[in-house]
Amino acid sequence: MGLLLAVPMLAVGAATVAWNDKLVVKDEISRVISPIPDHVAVSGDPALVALGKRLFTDTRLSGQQDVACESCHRLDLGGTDGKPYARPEYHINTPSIFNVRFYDRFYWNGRVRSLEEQTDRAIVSSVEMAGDWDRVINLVRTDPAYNTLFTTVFGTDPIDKEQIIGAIAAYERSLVSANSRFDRFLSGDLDALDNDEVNGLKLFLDYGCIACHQGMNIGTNLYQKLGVIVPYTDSDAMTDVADRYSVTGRPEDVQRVRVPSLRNIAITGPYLHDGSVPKLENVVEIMFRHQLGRVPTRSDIHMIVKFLKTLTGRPPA
Amino acid sequence: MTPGGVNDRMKRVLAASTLLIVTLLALVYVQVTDRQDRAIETRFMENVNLVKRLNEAIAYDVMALDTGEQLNYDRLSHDQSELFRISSTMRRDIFAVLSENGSTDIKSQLALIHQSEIRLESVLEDYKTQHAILRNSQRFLSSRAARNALTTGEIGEIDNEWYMLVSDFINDLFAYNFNLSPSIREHMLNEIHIWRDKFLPDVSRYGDRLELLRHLELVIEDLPVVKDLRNEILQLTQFPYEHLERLYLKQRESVMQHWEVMSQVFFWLTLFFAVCVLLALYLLYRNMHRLTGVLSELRNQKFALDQHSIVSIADLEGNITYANDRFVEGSGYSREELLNANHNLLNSGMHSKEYFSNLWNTVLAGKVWQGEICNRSKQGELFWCNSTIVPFLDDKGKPYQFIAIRTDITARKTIEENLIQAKERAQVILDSVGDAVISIDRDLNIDYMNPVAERLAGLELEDAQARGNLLALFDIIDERERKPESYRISNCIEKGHREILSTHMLLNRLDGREFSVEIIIAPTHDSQHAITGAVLAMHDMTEIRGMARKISHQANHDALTGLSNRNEFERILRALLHKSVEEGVDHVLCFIDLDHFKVVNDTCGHVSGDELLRQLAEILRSQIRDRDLLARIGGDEFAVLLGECPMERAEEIAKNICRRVKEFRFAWEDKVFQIGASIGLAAINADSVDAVTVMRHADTACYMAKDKGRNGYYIYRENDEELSQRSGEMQWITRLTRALDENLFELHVQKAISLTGNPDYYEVLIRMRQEDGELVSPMAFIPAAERHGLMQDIDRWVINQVLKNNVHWQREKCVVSINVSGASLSDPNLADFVICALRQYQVSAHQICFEITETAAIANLGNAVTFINKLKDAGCLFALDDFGSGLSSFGYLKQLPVDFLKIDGVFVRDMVEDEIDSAMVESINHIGHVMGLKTIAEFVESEMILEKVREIGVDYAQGYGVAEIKPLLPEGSVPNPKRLLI
Repeated sequence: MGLLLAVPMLAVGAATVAWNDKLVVKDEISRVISPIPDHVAVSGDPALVALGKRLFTDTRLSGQQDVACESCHRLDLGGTDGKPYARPEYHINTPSIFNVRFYDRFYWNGRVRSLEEQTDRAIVSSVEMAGDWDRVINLVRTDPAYNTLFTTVFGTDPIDKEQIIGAIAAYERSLVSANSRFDRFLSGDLDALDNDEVNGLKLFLDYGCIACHQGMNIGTNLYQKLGVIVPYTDSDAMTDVADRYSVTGRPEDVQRVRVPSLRNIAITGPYLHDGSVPKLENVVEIMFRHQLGRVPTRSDIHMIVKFLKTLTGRPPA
Repeated sequence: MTPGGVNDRMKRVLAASTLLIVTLLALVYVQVTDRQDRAIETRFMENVNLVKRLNEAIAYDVMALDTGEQLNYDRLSHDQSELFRISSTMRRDIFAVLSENGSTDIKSQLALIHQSEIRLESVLEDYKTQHAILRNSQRFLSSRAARNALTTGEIGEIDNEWYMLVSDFINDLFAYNFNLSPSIREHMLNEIHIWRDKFLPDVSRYGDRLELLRHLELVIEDLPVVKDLRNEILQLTQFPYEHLERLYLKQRESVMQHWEVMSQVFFWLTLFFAVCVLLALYLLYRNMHRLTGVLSELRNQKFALDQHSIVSIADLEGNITYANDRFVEGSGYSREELLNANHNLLNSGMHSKEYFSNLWNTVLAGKVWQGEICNRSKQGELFWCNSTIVPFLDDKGKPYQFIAIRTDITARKTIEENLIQAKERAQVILDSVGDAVISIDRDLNIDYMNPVAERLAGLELEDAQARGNLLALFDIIDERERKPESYRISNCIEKGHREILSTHMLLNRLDGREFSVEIIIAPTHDSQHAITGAVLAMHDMTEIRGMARKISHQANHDALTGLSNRNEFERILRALLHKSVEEGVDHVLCFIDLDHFKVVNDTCGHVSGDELLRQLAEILRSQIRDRDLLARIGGDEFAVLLGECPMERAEEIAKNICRRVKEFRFAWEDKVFQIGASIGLAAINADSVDAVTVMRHADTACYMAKDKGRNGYYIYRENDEELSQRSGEMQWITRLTRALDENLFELHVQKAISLTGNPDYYEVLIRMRQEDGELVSPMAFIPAAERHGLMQDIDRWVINQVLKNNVHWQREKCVVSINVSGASLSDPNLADFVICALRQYQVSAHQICFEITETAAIANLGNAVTFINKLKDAGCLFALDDFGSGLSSFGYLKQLPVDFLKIDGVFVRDMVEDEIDSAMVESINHIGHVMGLKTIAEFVESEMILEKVREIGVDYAQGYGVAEIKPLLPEGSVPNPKRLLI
């Protein structure tokens, strides 16, 4: 406790940011957000990852043979599909596939705790790939290319569901977008962010965004109610499937969702659980109003957005 | 030890082994399960510790978040995830180990843990949510905005009051943070509401202050919530896992004890069964050892059987399932061919179907069949086997296969067959032999008699055997002294020597009949060479002795006429000569040669000739005295020896013979022949040298008689000039040689006129001029010349003469044809002689033609063809003479490359009257033309014939009707005989 006293008062309003200011900001933010470790981007058995990639991009795994994992988690769109919803009947915005290896819960309502389980569900879910495991296993077993790859990785054991899931999950774990400019800043490269961006970061801290958007993923490790201060009523879909209530059934969990990661936020629009907000500025404004109960200036929003854009990491090769 | 015993023991070993394996597997299972359980136990214990530590870590994280030591939820979230992951593993492990038999205590404990964890998760999430909100508000209070809310605005009453308020708030909040007193909370919230109401009407002015108030309110409201959540977390993380641990270990202990007991039980069971197996194996080994001995003995017995016999095994259909080496060897088939083949592969076809059906019925009834079977090998050889077929019976006594053991008895069968054949042969011989054969034993009892012996003895074999002793059938006596000789048979048997009683033996039958016999007595032996008796072979000489006389007569007499033959005649002649020399008595020898006998023989055949000779013999016999000897010494030659007869008397007899023969008319069928006899007489007296000379004299005289005109006689006299000059053939040699030497031959030609526009054809003919100037026809001298080898010389003379005198004919552009004899055709030098002469006299070869007879050519076909080809190459022509009357083979005609075909005059002469002859001429002509030859018809003796010949299309006509024979050389140009010598 004692935060109130411990947090130092910061100098305000300077157009330019002094180097030592940057250092102070960096020190403060470093205690809250850790950079994505660069080396994990290349970890994992290459053969297993290659096999996972093949499965990840294989539309035959879906019930209608029309979509693959990749169809909604497009690497060129920050690991999302760039659409409000993946399917018209499923009003949930697709989260990014990047950096999921650092996640401890999946889906907006965190109903799944491991990547393997998420993969399993994604394959069979009627609103996702609508596949059938028996068919998928049979397909993989009868495909000569898969046979070769599976034999290389798993030996001569018959191909099973665990192997397929393991391969997909391994590939997904390799999808780390490290080395964003913000990460470099966190690692000590103070020039990685310009003045506006540092100021934006300061605002991010000052306004209290950092209270929820913290940790390595800048979010994801807790649930928060959308509309903590000012109730959020724009979304009609929230109560359906997206909130934590749909998992626990506890009244407290109504309208609580997993705090989304802000990594790659600039390229993963449209925003919010229902993809109802196309622009980053708008969602920042919504966050200010409903989560903070404040009205930001245009320049504040502008600078925060600038800062948010430094969170775009370098996608894996 | 029976195989059944072994089987039982084997079963026992198997049963013990099975039990051993089962207990061993159970033991292993217990051990493995135990080990797995221990591994799970270890992990469980580790996980419990981990869970405890994670609970502690979560408690710490929460405290750290509370104090601001941790500024994000990463650690907490991580520990949280780990806790739930490991906890669920832990729970799963317990279930895996305990499954259903876990105690209710543990289950309820596990449920408790699960409940607690679910609660913990909810609380943790709530904590984070609330904590974030609280932190946000706290942060606001320390932010620039909060300061703005304090500092900005008008200075006045409200401001002072506001400033004081904020200052109080900070103090109250500080106090509230330590002690969540509801009174402070109520007080602060009251104040906030009062002030908010004051600021709300002017939001634009007091925005900052309203915000500050709101955040203050949030902090105040949230702070106790967060603290409550924190406390609950701290409490939940204090969960007493030790209890679970204790329960688990207790449960495990009982399980382990259970496994321990099981393990012990299975260990001892395994040990027990292992001992059982070893024991059973030992017993089995002992039995096997004994069985090996039995087996080896059986193998030896099988080997012996295989060595001795042909062995095969067949199934119920007769298909071979086993064949030993001897079987393979004997059958000639390979083992592969035999196996699965049916036994009837070897069927020889020597046995009837019934034979085999009997065999099958026997063995299918489970009985042993024995018999001899003839088989046929692959190579088709038959071999006999003495076969024993034994069915193998199953438990129900039904046969399921057969073993056939055979011994090859082919050799024995062959011997048997040979014996039967030998016996048969002997029987046939004995039945058909002319001698009487009787077999007797040592006591002369009859064993066997052949049919001749039966006839000789006048008894059937059975009757003879009934009488027993040989001497009860007949006696054997010497025909001269009529004393018994039977003892010699017994003697012969005693001595064991073969004996022949050849002369004067008489078989005296009991009925009194006697037979002269020749007896061969041969003792018989058994296989040990002991004498068992004898075989008597008796030849009935009764007839033979009569025959002997007959043969002696035949040797000296002519079978046809019954007269003495030449042998007898010569013997008697010699005897007479001897007598004549010794006693000085004169005799006369007559040779009688029949004239015209050949005509009869040739026209009416030998039968008529023989009859004529028989009749003539009678005539001759009637003309001589009884003491005279008439003999037939050759085909138509008879001789008479007139003993003690003066020549005058002999002349008279000869004269009579001639007359009688001349008067005799021989009629045969519708023909009547007149025969003549030429008789030569020669005296036999003391001056006669020997029989040969006398006979030659008579022969010469006979020739003279013939020469002087037939049917006469001539008496040989010493120094008779006429006789010596003209005696026989000798004369012809002399005359022909002289004719050649002195150019007494003359050449003539007869022209054959061409009817189809060919060059004229002249045939050269030879004549011999006698001393008296008379011409002798070639018919007279050519046979003699041929007999004495003078033809070649004559031919060369003719050729030379013709070519030499070419000036007289060459310019006419005609063909000059020369006859060549068969002898000349064989002369290898004649062709060269001709070619030399052609060159010497510069004669164009194509004007020279050689006529050869078909007969001569065929007799020397090889030489003739060589001769013809050689001269044809030189350009000469050839004509085939007398075609149609000889062999008339058109086949030969093809082989002889002649240019002219001379149709035999025999057909031409009568062709006007005889249609057949006409047809012959026509066909020969036709064939000649087909072969590209010119045809010449001989003997064209009239205009009518000429017309006919012309009509047929013959190329040339030759004969008196066409052209006379003229001398080759013109009159006056006859060469000086002496200078014409070659």
